Amino acid sequence: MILICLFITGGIFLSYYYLLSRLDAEDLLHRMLTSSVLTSAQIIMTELLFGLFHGLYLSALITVNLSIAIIIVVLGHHIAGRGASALLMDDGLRVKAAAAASLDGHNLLLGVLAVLVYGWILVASYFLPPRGIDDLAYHLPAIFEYVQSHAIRLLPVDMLGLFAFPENAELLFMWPLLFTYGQRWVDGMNVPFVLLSVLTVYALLRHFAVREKDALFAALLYALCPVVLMQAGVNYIDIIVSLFFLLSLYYSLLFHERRRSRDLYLAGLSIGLMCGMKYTAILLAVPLQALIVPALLKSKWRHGLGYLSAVVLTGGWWYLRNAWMLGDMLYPMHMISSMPRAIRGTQGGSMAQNVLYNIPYWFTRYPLADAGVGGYDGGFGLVFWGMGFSSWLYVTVRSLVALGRTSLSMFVTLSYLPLGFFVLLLLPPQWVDVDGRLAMFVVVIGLVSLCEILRIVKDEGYIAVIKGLCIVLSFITVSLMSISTRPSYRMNAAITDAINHAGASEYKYLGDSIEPHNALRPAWELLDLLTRDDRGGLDCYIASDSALLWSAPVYGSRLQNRVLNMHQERRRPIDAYVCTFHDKNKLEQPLTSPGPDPDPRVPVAMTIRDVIAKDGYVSVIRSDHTCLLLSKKVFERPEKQRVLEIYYRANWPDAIDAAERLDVRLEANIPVIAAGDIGYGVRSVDMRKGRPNRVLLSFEHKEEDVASEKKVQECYTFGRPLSGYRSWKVSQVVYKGKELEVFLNRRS
Amino acid sequence: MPENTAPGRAKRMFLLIMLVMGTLLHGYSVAHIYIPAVVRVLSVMRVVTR
Repeated sequence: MILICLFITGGIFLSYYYLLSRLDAEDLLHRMLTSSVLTSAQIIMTELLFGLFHGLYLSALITVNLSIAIIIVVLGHHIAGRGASALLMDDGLRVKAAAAASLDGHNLLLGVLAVLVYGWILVASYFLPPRGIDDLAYHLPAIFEYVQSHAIRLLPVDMLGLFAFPENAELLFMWPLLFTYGQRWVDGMNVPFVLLSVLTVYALLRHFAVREKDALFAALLYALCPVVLMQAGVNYIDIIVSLFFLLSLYYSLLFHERRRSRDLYLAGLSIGLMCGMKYTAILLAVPLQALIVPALLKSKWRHGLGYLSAVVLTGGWWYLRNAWMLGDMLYPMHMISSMPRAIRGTQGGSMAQNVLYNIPYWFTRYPLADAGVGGYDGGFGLVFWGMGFSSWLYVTVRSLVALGRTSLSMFVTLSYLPLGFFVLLLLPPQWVDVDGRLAMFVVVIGLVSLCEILRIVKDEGYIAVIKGLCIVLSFITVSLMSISTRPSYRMNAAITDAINHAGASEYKYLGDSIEPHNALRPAWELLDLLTRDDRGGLDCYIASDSALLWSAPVYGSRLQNRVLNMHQERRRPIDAYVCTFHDKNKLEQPLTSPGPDPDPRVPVAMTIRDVIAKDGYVSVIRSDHTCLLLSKKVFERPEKQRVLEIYYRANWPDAIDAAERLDVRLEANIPVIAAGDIGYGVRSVDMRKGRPNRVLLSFEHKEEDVASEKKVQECYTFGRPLSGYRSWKVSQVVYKGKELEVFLNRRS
Repeated sequence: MPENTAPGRAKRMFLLIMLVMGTLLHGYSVAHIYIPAVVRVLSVMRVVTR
């Protein structure tokens, strides 16, 4: 299906490319960028339109998008211009000439490194599960829900306010998902946009008359900067936002200089798409108006209207929806108020206060520490801070000194470096380590400045030294992928399992990811294993502390499960509860974030303890931070029993071995309350012998709670007797090199 | 940008030193992040090429 997606997307792209080629002899790169912008806009707008009318079906989208492509080709065919074969020949020659001018030893070395690195990232997206923090929380659940329900709607903001964010970038991620209907490859969806970013940076540099080989070198450096490398393997949207900002800048520069209405509309389209991706993009669009408005005032008013329409049509929906449904266009950010709702209760104040607090620490947090480096949250890299930033300082001072001889285009471009940092300064101080990514584009401004330095130097020997140093720094930067956990790019376990046909769930490999994901992994992994071959999947409900509300893994690797928290209006039986919590000793706090349990019999102020104590559900895995409960009906299905038995055997073979030795010494009809692995062992043996479930899993030293919840009169426990019961030591077994005592407990 | 005239050797040296010093200053302050990564890559390469 991924090939069909590539074929359809390629068809849309080529239709625009053909039309543009017939329209004029604009250079090849410009046509490629414009075709990409138009393709992205078409995909986003058709998805949005069909989604809003509950018709988000693949067949309908393919039909409409291919029909549009055919109409565009027919239109192009009727325009007098070069024939398709002449066009191909001509473009082939241009590519050959550009390659000859761009490729040298430095670019080849950097190019090979980039190809290897992005090849690795694509392979990782095949083997590893989605693993970005924000991806699991809201980027992916939103599109999973849209794909499942065939509708685009506002997800419950009382569950997570971030569901109200604009989602144009997520809709680009959704496009291949409509074809693949699974989480495999989803983490690689930023890679094509990195490639497009390379082309855009190259075009921008060529616009400033930078030599082809220097422009390509700088564009490749952008692809190899830390934050881009780390985000390329997850579904954070900053690469795409940065790309559309660069495209907006590129078309604004073109309109400023050529005054051609087509450039204006393309600038409007790029700005609109960008503003429909992230609230902070609005701030980025403002300085561009210094390029657009003066030229616009000298053109016909209808062009101004067209420009505004392009912005509103491509980016306005999300703001309109929030104003209409939530009474606040920028929900939940409250950018204008003195205390943004998003930072209430955390250190931080009004935006002005944040700027005043952040400024004195700017130097230690960014140039010296490169906040967030080594993960997807930030890190502009050694090349930017070592070379780009100092080049920017030099070029800016030089431009200010020779004020009359520096173009407005260059000034606006250079101004985006301080503007990027200004955006970061607006945010609360404790977010410094995670918000550098919002200003990812400053790396490009640094590279534009570095290219200016190369032009000033005008000596191939000096240039070779500078480029050589950049290449060494890029190799060092790439090595960060070997130790990163945000995201992890290590695939040894996944590849070993694939070779051994272990049939593991991708969620198993979250073990290499950040600690909270690793801690919650057991429930997600087992749920996926239990359901991924079941086309119907399960209706799941997440009972979670609000900070651990990661719903994407609950959908399963093939999007087979439904997350009922997203459908609060529905009242339907729950097949599985996924409980995630910070502290197993504090399960009594009412769950407010996900709303009330859809089961009408449950009191509104539900707690995780209420969920765990539910009758009619069997706890199939329980760890210090997570618990998965299946309804008895689901638990007793033979195919689920088989999966559970295999899972327990794969993970706790020693416990099963101990349970087998114990089996003849225990009465088969007396319940077992077990904290720890031995419970899985006893259950596994029972399953194999076809006995009904009698194992009640508990947390460490919490056996009494389970006995009380389930009103147990008589039971076995391991390691210690139950307090409040009459107990006898009935047996013992060697488990993990220690004597494990078995007690029979009877209510006195 | 201002017109570029051919720069002298001193100016070229100044620009080169500016870039190298920038890199060294920043590199020194973030070395603790990059060194473990480089060491890991080198150790993996050593195992692979053995």
